Amino acid sequence: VIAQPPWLEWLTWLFLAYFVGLNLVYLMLSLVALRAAVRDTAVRTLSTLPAYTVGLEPGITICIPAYNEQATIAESVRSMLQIDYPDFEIVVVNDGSKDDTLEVLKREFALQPFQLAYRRTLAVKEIHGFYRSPRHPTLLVIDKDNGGRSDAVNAAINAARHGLICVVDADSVLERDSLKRVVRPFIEDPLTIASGGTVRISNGCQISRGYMQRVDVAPGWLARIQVLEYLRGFHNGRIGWAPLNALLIISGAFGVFRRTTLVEAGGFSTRTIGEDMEITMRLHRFHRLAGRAYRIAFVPDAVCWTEAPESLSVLRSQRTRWQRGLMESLWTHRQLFFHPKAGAVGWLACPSMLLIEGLGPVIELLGYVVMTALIILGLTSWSSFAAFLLLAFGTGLLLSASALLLEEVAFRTYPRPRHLTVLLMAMVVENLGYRQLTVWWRTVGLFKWLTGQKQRWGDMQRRGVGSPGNRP
Amino acid sequence: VFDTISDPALRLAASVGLTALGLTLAMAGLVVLMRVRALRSARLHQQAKARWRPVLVRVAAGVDSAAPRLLRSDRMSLLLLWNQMQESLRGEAHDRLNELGDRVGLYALARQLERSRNLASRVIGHATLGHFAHASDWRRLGSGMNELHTPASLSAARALLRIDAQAAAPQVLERYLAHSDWPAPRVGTLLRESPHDAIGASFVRRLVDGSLYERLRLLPLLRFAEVPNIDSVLDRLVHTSNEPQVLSIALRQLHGPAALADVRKLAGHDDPLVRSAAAQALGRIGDSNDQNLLLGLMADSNWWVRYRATQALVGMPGVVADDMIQLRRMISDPFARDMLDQVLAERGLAAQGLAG
Repeated sequence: VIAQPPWLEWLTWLFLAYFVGLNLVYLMLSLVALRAAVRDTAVRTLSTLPAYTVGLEPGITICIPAYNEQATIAESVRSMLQIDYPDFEIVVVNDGSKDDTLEVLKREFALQPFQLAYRRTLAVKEIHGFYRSPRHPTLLVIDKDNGGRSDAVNAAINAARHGLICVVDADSVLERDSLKRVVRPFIEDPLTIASGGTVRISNGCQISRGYMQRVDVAPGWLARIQVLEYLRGFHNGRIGWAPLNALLIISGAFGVFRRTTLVEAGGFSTRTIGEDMEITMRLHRFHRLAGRAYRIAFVPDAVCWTEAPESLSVLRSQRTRWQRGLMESLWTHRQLFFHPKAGAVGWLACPSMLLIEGLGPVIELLGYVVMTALIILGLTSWSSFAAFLLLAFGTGLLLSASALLLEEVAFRTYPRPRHLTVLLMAMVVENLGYRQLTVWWRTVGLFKWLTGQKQRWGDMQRRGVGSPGNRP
Repeated sequence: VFDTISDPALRLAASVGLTALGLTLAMAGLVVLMRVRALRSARLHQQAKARWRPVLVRVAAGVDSAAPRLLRSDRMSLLLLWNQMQESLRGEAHDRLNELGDRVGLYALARQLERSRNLASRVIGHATLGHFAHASDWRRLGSGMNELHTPASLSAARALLRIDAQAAAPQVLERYLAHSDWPAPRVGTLLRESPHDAIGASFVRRLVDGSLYERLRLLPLLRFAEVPNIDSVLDRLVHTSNEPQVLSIALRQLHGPAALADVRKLAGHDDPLVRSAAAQALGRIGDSNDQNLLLGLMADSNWWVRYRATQALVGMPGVVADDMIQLRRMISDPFARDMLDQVLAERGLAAQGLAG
């Protein structure tokens, strides 16, 4: 045995600092989240008493950007039309689809060309026409040139009649009362400018005519692990950051924004791939640096279900895109980092996001590579290798376990003992290859961001909400 | 080989890893334990509901007043069920359930819960005491209304209003104005549940003569609460206020024609919120003399003012389709014409939808 060379000493401490820091930050978030969840649960037990928000819900415009969604769009719109909410309209934007998305919409909803006095408040690509349906007066369809998801959402914002904008994905399935829940912060606190809900994985669930009929965990391990990942992301991350008013992302799959605030901020950015995180950070920056009071809220019991990739190639594309989006947003709003006026956003959320989510994959990958190389070359002991593996896996398992605990305390969405068993097993299985793969893809995403490579709308192969393929 | 597990860094790595693993196992065990407890608790709750629902229904209907002995495990389930039923009952049925609740110990339980450290328990305690409406709980609920947790303070306020609305309403309004944590819609709903004359002259006085903050806090309550002489209060606000927020809220609720002259004047206000609200008000209370004014607003720089003005004009009594065709020919402003096209298209679609 000889003494470590200095570079290995440094690397060792870097890995250790990363894993210990990661643990500490997430444990802190878990504690905040647990406290918030217990309080929310206490209040939710009162749901048997009259709901005080009944009849007070503000009008909402639901924006559905659609690009090549001919397989799912009709069912999605149909499900949205049945949402339990007193005052809403749906604006579907056909963003220059190459398939028959517009034709399907015209046929299924008997659309007619409509003369709309369109406000070009936000600049968008050329619009070809507007369509309305006599059968569904709350539905408006905009047909426009392809400009990307953000451009499509901006086109919908221009046409929106209501003060609140709800952005959803074309394959999102909202629970019947999700809108009522997600607007609660707007009713209770006029300073609320945005509010997000929880996104859950719908693979394996039984969905019929756009409604969640029976919750189940996905049949394949790839999707099962993503169920756990989403629990971790939403429970540990978002519930934890929200009480500090430091939530850095309102998910693009389900988020509500005040229209005036969006317009004032310039709408969704068409220059980034992670437009949901970018707009959330921009809203923080505008308000924090100008000293304006505001609130960005998270409503964990407002649930939206979405399909997760079940093939490695689609998952790879998604994760590299997410990583690029994350880095783009953090870089664009780097002014927030440690700014005297940025509060918890600039001093806690942004640095944590950069170190843990942004650079974390590189550090972890480096750890795997260096430790494996050292053990292959016979330059380190097996006990050292085992200690680092224990550290890496123990950390991952702990984060998953805390998310599961939070799920059990506050939601219990997966009702059967079998579901719980599968999720507990997924905690372990995730560490056997999946985690290492995603770390690699995220590192590739980081590299792509550094080298400025472009990425377009993701080509997710949809099975469609309510299609037989979704049933177990 | 460079190192061994005895190096400080590696020892730390192993310790952190083992601690994380230990905590993981503990959490996983806790999750399983909680699931077992939750399943048991759900089963007991269902059993308690099955036992007590028929009893409560019979007692409320006055068919029978007998009740089985309350098991300790049934207490919370019964309390929730009892509260649920009381929310929809009035008069004698409500009193009969109160009598039953007193007899089986729910009142005593509510007083215990009201002092609990658990937020949900306190709220349920307040709700229950509100149904019993004993004057002896006034002071206790009064201090509950001033506590920091919003759900608990609101539930205490609701209970106070149930005990004595006349006496409680001024206190509730004071608390509402003193702290910003109570949402206006929630307080409005509480006041709507109270007798019509609960809001007195002090509310009106503060609405008209109070500070801007007070007026902005009180105005949204008008949607819910029965305010004496509301029309004259709104007329006065429209006549005397300068603040755009106050004006726009007041204009939206205006229904009497007495303030028509003021509304016409406000159609030229600098703030688009006020112009848009004035256009809507003209649609409700205006007459044929206001058509030119609305035509002018149809060419406003603000989209919402144009939209509301066009809706108001198209919806005015006596305005028919031929008038609109003629009007469209007359309009030279392209924005006004676009808006007229949209509003007419909306009406056409609505008519098709109705016909379909």
